[in-house]
Amino acid sequence: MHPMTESKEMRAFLAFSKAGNLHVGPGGISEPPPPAPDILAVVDGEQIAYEVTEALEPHYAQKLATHMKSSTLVRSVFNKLPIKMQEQIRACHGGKVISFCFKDDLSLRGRALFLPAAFEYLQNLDSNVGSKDLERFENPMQELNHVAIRHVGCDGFIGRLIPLRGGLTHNQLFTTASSTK
Amino acid sequence: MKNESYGTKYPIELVTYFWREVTPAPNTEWIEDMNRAAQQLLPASPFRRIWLYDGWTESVVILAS
Repeated sequence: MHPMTESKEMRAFLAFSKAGNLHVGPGGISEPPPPAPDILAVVDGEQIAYEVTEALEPHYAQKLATHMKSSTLVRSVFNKLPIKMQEQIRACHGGKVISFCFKDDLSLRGRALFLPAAFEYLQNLDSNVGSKDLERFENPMQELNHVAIRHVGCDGFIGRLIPLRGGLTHNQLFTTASSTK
Repeated sequence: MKNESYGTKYPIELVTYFWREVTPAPNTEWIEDMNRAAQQLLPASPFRRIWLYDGWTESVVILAS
């Protein structure tokens, strides 16, 4: 089987059988259709069905899930702020990357309730904060470990460098980008 | 018949794995947690044995059998 067409389960099983020194018979691995387990293999002369599943370290998985939900939450809460407040925060801190590092034990609901206060904190920060390098504010509120603010700069060209069929060439793109400055 | 839901007549073993992309915690407490969970899961499961493949160290451990 070509490596690129191997299923995730097959790749994992092959790595597992190699690491575990399983004596898999030649041509003795197949992927039977559901509902059979993922892999059928002849190991030490015995047919064995293997169910192959990815494990995530539980605390890591939980942290990852919380982090992803928190990112969505931050955007959602920001969009529900009064328009004037949104505009003020954008005017002061547009073009910056702002990270709220929550205390681990703060639930998602707790974060949702706290976030308006965090945005108010941002609103009251000097607009020059984060204009050059990364700045960190340790423990600005009891719910946060720190707030990090970094300016996002762009000194070079951003654009598509691969010409599309019937589209612009590299030179034309550069010219177009320059002429819009 | 234990294996009925899987539609196979062969013994079934469970291989749990994680790859290099997933950063495990620096300690191994979670492996002990998985070991305990596997020991509890096994008797009521269709599996004859439960393995853990650690893609970080390319090693294999039997969690329960």
